[in-house]
Amino acid sequence: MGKVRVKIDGKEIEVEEGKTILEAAKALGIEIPTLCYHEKLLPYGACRMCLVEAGPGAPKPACATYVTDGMEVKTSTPEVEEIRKTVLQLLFGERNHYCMYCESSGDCELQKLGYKYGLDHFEFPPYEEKYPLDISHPYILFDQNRCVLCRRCARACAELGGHFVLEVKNRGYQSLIAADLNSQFAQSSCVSCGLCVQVCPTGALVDKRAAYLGRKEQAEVIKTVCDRCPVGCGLEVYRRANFILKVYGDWDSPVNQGVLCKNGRYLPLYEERPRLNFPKLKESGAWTRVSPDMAFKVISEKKGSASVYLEGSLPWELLKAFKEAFEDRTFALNPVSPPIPPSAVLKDLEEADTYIVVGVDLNERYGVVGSMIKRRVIPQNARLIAVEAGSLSGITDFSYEYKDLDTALGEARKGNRIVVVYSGLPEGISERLRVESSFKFLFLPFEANTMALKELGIEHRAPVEKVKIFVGENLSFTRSPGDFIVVFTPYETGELREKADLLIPIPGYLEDEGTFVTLEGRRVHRQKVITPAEGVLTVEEVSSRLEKI
Amino acid sequence: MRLARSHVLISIDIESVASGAWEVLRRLKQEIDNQGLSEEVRVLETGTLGVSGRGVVLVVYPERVYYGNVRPEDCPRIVEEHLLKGRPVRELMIPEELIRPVSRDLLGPMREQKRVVLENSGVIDPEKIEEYIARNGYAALEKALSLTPEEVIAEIKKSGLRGRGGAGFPTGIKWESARKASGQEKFIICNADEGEPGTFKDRLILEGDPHKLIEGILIAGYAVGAKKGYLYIRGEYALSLHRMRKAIEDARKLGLLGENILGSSFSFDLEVKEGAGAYVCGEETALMDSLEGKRGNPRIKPPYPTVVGLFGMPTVINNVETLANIPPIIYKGADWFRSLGTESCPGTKVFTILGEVNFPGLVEVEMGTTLFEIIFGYGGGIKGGKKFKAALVGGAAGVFLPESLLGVRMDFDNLKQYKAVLGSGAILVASEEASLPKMLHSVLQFFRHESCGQCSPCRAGTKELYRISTRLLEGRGKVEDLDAMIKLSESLWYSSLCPLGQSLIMPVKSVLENFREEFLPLVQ
Amino acid sequence: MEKVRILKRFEPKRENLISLLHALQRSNAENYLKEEDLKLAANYLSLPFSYVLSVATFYSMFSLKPRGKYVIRICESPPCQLVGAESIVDTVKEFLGINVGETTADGLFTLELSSCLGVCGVAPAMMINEEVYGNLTPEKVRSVLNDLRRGK
Repeated sequence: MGKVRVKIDGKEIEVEEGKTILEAAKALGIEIPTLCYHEKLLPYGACRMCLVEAGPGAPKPACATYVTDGMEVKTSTPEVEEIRKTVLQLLFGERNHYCMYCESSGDCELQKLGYKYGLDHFEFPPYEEKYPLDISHPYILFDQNRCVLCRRCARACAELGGHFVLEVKNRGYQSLIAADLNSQFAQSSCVSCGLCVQVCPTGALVDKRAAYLGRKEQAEVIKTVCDRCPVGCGLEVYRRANFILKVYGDWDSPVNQGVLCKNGRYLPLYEERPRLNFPKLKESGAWTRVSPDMAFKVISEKKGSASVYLEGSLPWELLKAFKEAFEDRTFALNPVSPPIPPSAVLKDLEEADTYIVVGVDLNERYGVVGSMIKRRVIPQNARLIAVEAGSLSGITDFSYEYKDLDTALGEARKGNRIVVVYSGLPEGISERLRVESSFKFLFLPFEANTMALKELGIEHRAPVEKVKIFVGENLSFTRSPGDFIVVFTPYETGELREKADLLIPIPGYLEDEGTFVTLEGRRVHRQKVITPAEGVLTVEEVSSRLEKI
Repeated sequence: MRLARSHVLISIDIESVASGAWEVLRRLKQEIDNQGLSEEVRVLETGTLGVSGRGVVLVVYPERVYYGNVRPEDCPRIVEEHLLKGRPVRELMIPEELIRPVSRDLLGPMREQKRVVLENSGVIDPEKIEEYIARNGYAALEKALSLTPEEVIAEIKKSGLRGRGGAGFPTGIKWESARKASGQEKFIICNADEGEPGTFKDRLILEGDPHKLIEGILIAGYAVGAKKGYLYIRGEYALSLHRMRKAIEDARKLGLLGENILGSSFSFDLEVKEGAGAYVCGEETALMDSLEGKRGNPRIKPPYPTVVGLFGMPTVINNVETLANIPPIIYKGADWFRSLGTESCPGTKVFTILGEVNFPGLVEVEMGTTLFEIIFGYGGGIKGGKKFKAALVGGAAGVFLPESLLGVRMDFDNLKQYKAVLGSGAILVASEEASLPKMLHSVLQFFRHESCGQCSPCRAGTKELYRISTRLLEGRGKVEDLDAMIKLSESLWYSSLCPLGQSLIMPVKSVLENFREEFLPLVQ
Repeated sequence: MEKVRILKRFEPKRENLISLLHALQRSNAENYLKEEDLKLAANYLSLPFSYVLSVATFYSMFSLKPRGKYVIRICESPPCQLVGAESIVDTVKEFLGINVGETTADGLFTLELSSCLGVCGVAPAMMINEEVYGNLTPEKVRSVLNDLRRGK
């Protein structure tokens, strides 16, 4: 990569070939206004806000023009400033850009530009044509009247999410963003990854739950890591008082670079199960509140005969505390060991030319891994071989059942850099995959902290004893007569009330800090973002009490 | 071809068909049969005979008698009187001077039409490759193959040929740039997405002389080093699509397309691709996107197509008329081409004369012919003897020229001085009775409909301009609106992503500056 | 299935999308692209649905709504406008009793306005399906439509 010298507003700089004027200006600390530009997306150059003078001829869009040696750029001439104002006026007049009752007011890039350029009246009468709202989606509100057709949503849905649900339909002034074949958002193939909302510069795509509850400047933005699966995506959680407004992907996280899936972004915030707010003991069929001291006294009495069954969704500290208290009577509820030893990391997905996904639907779980694969497969930059991969079979011609594994493997071998993506595998399948020496194996552990279970030497076993302690969020088990069951959980479901004897509350989503080990073996620290109800025991509290029993 | 004593040529093109040419043809053949003349008289279907606005046109050879506005019921008389008895039917004939309209009362010496790209249209049967070959068809290709590609490019550069699609870019330089560019493969694209309102010159070449176009593309391919060509024809041109596809098939059968053409090491194939109704696809980068199976969105330039074009490969995109000039230039030489037209714009140009003239249609004349000669000479002046008011020159993306500029010489550079453009060569003539505000409205409606919608200024600006124009025509306009339109079109010129948005300034500014008084009655 | 035969005429490459959509549209009596056609094209060419919709709605010749047996396209560009296209449009509207973009109740005619058709020498002009009619007058238009009505 050679270097080129450019002069921007009189200042000289040397940058690598292949950089745009916008990037070179940024390096010099010169700001150029943009709207359709997004750092993580390929340049579009269509909003025309970033026009700069760059030599003879028409002005050039800084975001999409690559610097050439000796280029002289002027980012702010009277003509260029005038045109930015006109373009803004045209955009404001195109649709409904009355800011007063828009959710995005205060957080809107169009509005910010309007203020910056001193717009104080509508040059062109706005909102002549009224488009319908699409409120069908459970999490996202889509208001066409606020759209500036920057296409960031469609570009992100394609380039980052790999879902290709959104695209512009019609032509010219009748252009509109549509989902699939013009379906309502809710009926489309949207997987609720939420990238569209995250990149929308205006109030066209809005998070329903957070709407009107607080702007960015009224919230605190806390960087943390998602704990819903072992990928370990970076999050930016917007918190106001003790309430989570919304969850955004952290653009700076090297793991997911801003991309999320519905499991981390939406589902936990829409939790409907009632919370367990203090410890409860069932005596003679009736539940009574007990103190933490009392609850742990009960456990202490049963300690000798009790076995612990842990979900892999819990932080390292809690898992360790249980292990130390109950030693070899500590087990995992779900499989721990990889059926095939892993040999790949997430970065290998970027360079592969063939993916073979076995037995896991990446639209339902591990969504960000799914995005990494889909965004290369659908534009035909890589091939996907799906073996019983659920809905993922819809995007490839090479879809097989386990009984046709040989054919699938034959197809896969045609590639050069092949990555197998798998989680749990049925009997007989792992042996046949394992022998493929040219393949790289990317293991997706069953739960967010399965790797920690492995490190702590906790193995999977089905519950058998009479005295059982279950710890987790999504517990479901059978009760036999004579059982004594203790449950540490955030939620008090009907099933638990029926089957358990002692319920002890632990923190829910983002309510406590802890360490997780991702699928690549990295240790990440999860922050405590909000505080649960007073009666809920923290991980620290539980750990220290377990020490003493 | 069996020797017949008489030939009757009947023009089969979209316009004559619209006037009932098929029925006339059927009846004519029937009558010739009835009179037992089938062995002696041959009827040939050909492209346009160069006479427009005269319904179904026939010409009988060897007498070279033209019949116009022929109806099926006229055929018995023509066959019996003229073909059998040798007495042409006077009442149906088109007078000599209307075939080559040269009005002698007007100023200056009138020149004949100089038909270069249209030399075969109306003379040969476009669906018979042998007839093309008989008129030196594919001889230029043979000659080109005997030269090196660089020599071919040099000859085209020497000829000074400039693109006939509207931009007027020197063709030789474009070819040279593509030749020098590096890429796994190179492409030639022929732009036949003729969408500029008032333009149908390319259609006449596609329908009337398809092989000339194929030959031009082949020579371009050889010069540039391409092995594949695409001919992008607008979806509405059904007959052109049919004729080009047939011509390509015929050329393939004779080994003029495919591997080792004419025994050389040059291999080339050509594919026809149809458009689907989008004017913006006439813009070269939007055309490439459309060819690739995408929306017809223009691309940001640079990079230029000769470096990064179709599928990312170096690509030459030339207009139909440009490519139709190539075989004559190679066959007759650059010097011959330079002897026609003007210094900076050699050769001929096909102009379409439309609107309120006596003889709407098209003419091919040398570059540098004045607008006056074209309108009043070839066009026969204003219909009904009315006064001339304005001519919209260049298409919708053109300039309204007032009477004072009638003497302008029509070529790319001369027109620039008057802030006008040659464009596609469409000349829409408005008389004193025409409403220029309504014409402008039609222009703005066109742009609003055809904007691709990618860039904000054009998408919102075309909508805005149309809205202001509507207000004016509905009597709700204010005088500030007039300057607002000019200012808005200037903003679009400065900021739009592609020539579509950039060209609005021409019709808007020219009509409001040259004919402001027409708009004043509409405002408060 | 007939549609599959249409698909097989084209190589499954994205560059064939527009030609494929033309062929699929022509195969429907009502001159339009059904949702199933878009899905077929998408699956055959391995393209996302949203992409195919995006392309199909960009081009004027494609319609996603059912149209009549005869699609009337009247040119409204400057050369035709100047010589009376407006009165031709009015004539058709009145004669058929429909507005622009609508189809007659008997499913015979759909009225559309079009940009320049490239037959300006016979302006004002219109196309009905693939046939061009030029030098139009209100009488001629009525006569043509009557003939089509009577099945000629």
